[in-house]
Amino acid sequence: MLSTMAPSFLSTNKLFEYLHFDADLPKALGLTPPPFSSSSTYHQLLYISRYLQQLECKTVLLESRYVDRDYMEDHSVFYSRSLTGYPNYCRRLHFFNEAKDAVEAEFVKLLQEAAGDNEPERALRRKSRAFSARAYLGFCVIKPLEGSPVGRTVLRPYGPKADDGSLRVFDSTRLYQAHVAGLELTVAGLAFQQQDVGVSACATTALWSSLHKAKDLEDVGPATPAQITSLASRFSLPFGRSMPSEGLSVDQMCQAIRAFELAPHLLRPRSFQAARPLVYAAIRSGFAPILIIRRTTATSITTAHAVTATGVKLVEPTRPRFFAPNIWDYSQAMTALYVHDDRVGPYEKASVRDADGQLHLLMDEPTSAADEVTPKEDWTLTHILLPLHGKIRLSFSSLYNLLLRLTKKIGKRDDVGASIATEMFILKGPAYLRSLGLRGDSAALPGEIVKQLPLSRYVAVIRFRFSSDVTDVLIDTTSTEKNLHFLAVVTTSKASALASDLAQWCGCPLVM
Amino acid sequence: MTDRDPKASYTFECEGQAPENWEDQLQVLADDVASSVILTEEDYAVRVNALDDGTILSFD
Repeated sequence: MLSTMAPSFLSTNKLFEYLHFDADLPKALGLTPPPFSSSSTYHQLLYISRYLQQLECKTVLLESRYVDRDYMEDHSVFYSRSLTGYPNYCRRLHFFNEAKDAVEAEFVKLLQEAAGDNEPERALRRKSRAFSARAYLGFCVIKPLEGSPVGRTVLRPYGPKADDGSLRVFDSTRLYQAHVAGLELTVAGLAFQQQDVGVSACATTALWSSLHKAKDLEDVGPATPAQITSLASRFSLPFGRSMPSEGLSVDQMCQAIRAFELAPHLLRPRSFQAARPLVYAAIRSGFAPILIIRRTTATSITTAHAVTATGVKLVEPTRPRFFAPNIWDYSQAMTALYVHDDRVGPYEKASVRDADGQLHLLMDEPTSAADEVTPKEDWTLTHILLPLHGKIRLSFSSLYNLLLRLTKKIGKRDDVGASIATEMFILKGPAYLRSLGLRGDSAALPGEIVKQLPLSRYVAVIRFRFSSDVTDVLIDTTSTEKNLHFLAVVTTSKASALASDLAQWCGCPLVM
Repeated sequence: MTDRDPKASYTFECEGQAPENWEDQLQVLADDVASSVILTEEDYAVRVNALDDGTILSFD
């Protein structure tokens, strides 16, 4: 009998099932590569399997019929019009670091305990959050596309301490909720999916991940891969048809961002020294920057690629150096990035290095397997693309220049004894106040700030850290380089001569 | 995502000292960073299309 359905996808008849984690997810899911597909067809799924092993995953909860917003749109626009009868639903896998029986029992226990509480809904949410923080590793949508099955996938990032003692910071992530059997599970991460070269290639997928983070900050409309590719191709088709997608130009990527009512902020760093602080600041600000990278293969073919940066690794194997007397910049401690590379997987480590004066990223080849000595691809960063709110008018380059000017003034002082670390970032006003108040020793500062001055929607911060104290120069992001508007200098130190001087130099109030 | 800055509880150790000509070097860095916003038509024409099976569809 001739069938046009994907057979293995429909092989299970249970809608909801707890399973022991199998490190070979393609096999466990019964996936069969399409004829003549490359040996790397399931590379992303195998990468996710290995990643979950590192997170000590023990149990998988399989939902066999899951309606995914992104895939439904892709199906509607593209796959529903194929001769092959692709289903319009997916499978979803949830991952836990506790044993199967324990997870199954916990689902019942949480509901039972909450039912006995005076405020059962609140209690259930609180208990579900606590359970998620302890045991939930995230989820992975499996699309009914045998050649590109990995759909929206949100996994917990690596822990803050690496084996070599260095620090991992994932500022470009957000909280996601997954509703399963009456519970609301939560996971902090950033959405990943692989390209299908139908509605999306790497450019669309990198934009999609970055817009997921933008949606956490602003009320951006739904941005599915199909919508991104369509909006990117609305006014310009420099390379022919938009679907099947064979990539986008940088111009089209900017058009797509604008179509979602955000402002595309494009930077082209000319050197390693210039690129490093800009990349660091964009990730630190939580904007999940899209990094456009380029490499020339052994056969002299040049190709461009896009990845989304989610976090940084600080310090090892090199240590930062002072760039002014006793002053150093946190970006100098950035030795690797963690990027979503749709050809490889989420949170792929990309080592940062300076070669020929340019910022290079050393990344795994997409075809490398777990048991191989991983070959590295050497990519050169060419552009940084950020989807920003339109009221962020100050560019990161203007902000860094301001940081350098202030550093120069501080470096000339005779009283800079202890080491000072500096960095710059842009945060929403409330997020800045919250982060300041949560330091513990400065709980009264947010109240003092709002008593004395109105904050812009986003505030730019140039931070100087002396041991445990911080002094922040706050700048209105709606102002421009020529007409800078300093909001205040905020310090956690009660007797900081430097903070007073900074306030004087910037012509703004000192809040302490 | 991180409300509490994890760097605050991490001990960073720096190497060496600032270079003698640190002011000049800061100026070079400032000029470099300022030039990051200077873009040309070629920058926007770059085609971003690396595929996951190693295929390269076109060149720019």
